[in-house]
Amino acid sequence: MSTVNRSIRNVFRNKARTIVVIIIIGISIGVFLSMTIVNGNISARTVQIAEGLDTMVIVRPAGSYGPGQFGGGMSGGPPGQGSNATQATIGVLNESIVPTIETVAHVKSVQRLAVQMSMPTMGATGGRPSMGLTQGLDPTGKIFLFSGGTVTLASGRNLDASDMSSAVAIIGGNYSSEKSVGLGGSVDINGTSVQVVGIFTSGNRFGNNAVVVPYETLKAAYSIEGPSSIYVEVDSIGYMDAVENQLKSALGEDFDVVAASEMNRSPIQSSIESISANSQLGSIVALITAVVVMIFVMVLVTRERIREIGVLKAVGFKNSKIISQFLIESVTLASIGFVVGIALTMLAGPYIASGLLGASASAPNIQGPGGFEGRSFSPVSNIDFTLSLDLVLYALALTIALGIIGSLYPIIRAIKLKPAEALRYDE
Amino acid sequence: MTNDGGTAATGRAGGAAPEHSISLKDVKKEYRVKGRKVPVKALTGATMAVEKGAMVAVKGESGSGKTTLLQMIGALDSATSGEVVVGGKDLRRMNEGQLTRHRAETIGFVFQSFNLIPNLTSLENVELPMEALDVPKGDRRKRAVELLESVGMKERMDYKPLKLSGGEQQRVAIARALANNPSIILADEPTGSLDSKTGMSIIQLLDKLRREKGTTVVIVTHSDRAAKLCDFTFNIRDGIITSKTNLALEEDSRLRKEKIRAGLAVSGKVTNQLFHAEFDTLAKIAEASIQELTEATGDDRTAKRVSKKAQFLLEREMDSQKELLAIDLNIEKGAVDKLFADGLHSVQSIKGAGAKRLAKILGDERLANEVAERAELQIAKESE
Repeated sequence: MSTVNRSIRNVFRNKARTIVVIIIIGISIGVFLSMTIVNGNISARTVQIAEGLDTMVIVRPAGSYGPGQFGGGMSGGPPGQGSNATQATIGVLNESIVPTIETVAHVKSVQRLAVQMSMPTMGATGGRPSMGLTQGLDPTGKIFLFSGGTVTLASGRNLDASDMSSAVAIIGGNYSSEKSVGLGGSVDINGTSVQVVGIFTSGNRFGNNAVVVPYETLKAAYSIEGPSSIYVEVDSIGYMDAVENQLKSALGEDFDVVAASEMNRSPIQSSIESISANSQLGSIVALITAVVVMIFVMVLVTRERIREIGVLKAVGFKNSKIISQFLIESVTLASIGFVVGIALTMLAGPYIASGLLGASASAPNIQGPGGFEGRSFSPVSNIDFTLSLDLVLYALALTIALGIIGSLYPIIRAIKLKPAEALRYDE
Repeated sequence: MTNDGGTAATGRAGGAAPEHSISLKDVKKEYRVKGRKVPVKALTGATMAVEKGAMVAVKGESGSGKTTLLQMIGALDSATSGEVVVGGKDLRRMNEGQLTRHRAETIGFVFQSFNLIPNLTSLENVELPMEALDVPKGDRRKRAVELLESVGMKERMDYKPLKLSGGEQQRVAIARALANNPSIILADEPTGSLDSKTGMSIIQLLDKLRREKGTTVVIVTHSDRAAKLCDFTFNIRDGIITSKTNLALEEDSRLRKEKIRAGLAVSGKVTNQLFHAEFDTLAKIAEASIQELTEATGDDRTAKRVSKKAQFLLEREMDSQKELLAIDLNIEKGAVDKLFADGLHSVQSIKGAGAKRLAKILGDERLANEVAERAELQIAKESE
């Protein structure tokens, strides 16, 4: 029997203890991986939210709720950042203010935006239920998603100025696969059929379920009175303050005028930052737990087997061979825990993340169509829990290090005993 | 009894100077124990020498230092001072790696509590020392099977220690000790966890194996019975070797003394005087002159008494032997007398004499042939 063979068999000498340790390490690794994924996505999300909107000023009805990117909110709730109102209200803008906005110096483009939500539906592939989102946006400037993130075309073309009131749409990748709609296909928006001219990715699940149509198309389909917000692009970041002030002055107190960069310090952004901090803490705590458990178990194992170590030394085993045997045992134990942790992450990663980050993960309740409270707007629930190969390899390397660190100290301590001392250890 | 009082008493009498497998000179071992200012002195100047191929016992009370002595020989621990030479190597001059190699190649250990690895089979336990020396897998397995067969455990080679009795585990442990064909086996109370019958079988097994392989065996034991099977016994007390004895010879001598003392109805003192003068059998006493016996015992009357009594006992013994021979060979007393007169007192000597000599003694060829045949039959019967 070789050292490796014997070491692996030794792992299962105490089956009950081994199973418990594997479960604990598996949970620790599962939590570590889940938290790392969340943290990675949240960081990307933060970048996405900022991206493309740093020269944008948003005009909304006064008192629009919280993040205000929707332009609508619950009555009675707190007003959004920078709002002039004392209470949040649901409202739409009068399109007559558009010419006023256009006359302000350094305004590069003016885009009307409106959003329609629909009930969550199960995806075609049986995936998680996703909120239906249709966004109407004037295609006269950048094409962006109100929920944050850039629109990156995967196939087809983007909307442009020639599509002002055309019955066309670009759709998110998730929407395309779940609804089995490709380029050239059609999407029904409230009885109006629009043709898909492009498929995009946005970097987050929420955005990838969206349908973007020209504002006029959405307005006609839903008989909307007006946009929920107007996005004003400034020609240079240096003129942001000036444009903001001029708009406030020109439009008066009935409107909230907020720079998009200030929106990033909204409650959602605060929530995101909180989640990021908590997920980092969670992953560190999980890792420390795994290390502590490993050290504790290996101290126990070597202490139980000091006499056996004495026998091995007595029959002529070198210290290096004995150390290798115990290192292989602990790395094997940790590796099995790693496999359990991977399985746990794949099967239950989002639930782990939601469970552990629950309070900080919930975004403000937003009234969508039919009164549905948009929990799926939670930054955590929209995270894609795909395990990248890099992350798996990183976690594997950490696991092996865990196995080595966990056993090195106890075994080196035991190996220093003379054979005679080790043999009489229990006596 | 040979009292060596700490000097290096050596091997068997006669022949060239025997090669010493183990030599200890003034070995001391002290342990520092937590909470105690004064170190514990386990060995206080032990000196002993064991020749190659001998089987010796180390006997002493608990705490006398016998296990520590074994640990010094086996390089399981290092001496505080003194010389330890094992298999021609001075252990003081060896580093940790060399000592490990030395243990693997030269020493085989047998422990009181067997110390088999519990989750390995008998075969795998025996393979362990060979694995330490990187012996190829195929060779390891083959040798392990052979060793288990030699200790009578081949049928149990796939059993783990828990499924074996104490005696069986110790047999496996002995096989493991022999794995790398060591020149020295060190057994620390090998029968301590076994019943007396099983224990004796283990000692006999060790004796058999050392005779076959010429291995030196050192056994730490409390048991006199085990020690009697050894060539010599080193007695240890308070960390020092106090004497070296041969318990089997001593026992035999004691029994013979007792027989003569009881038979001649004399005191222990007179018996000792006779033995001292080498009159240690009835025949020698009966054949000795009164003058020789007087010189031995210092008393004329006692000399005459013991001489007469010895002759009487010898005669009675002879008569008894004659009667037994007549029954065994189914011959007349007259024929037995003739055989005895010619010095043939036993069936073995009669068989060895040959038909021709028997015919000459008995004066009857036919009778001589019959006697020779019957002697052979009797010998065969006795050896069944």
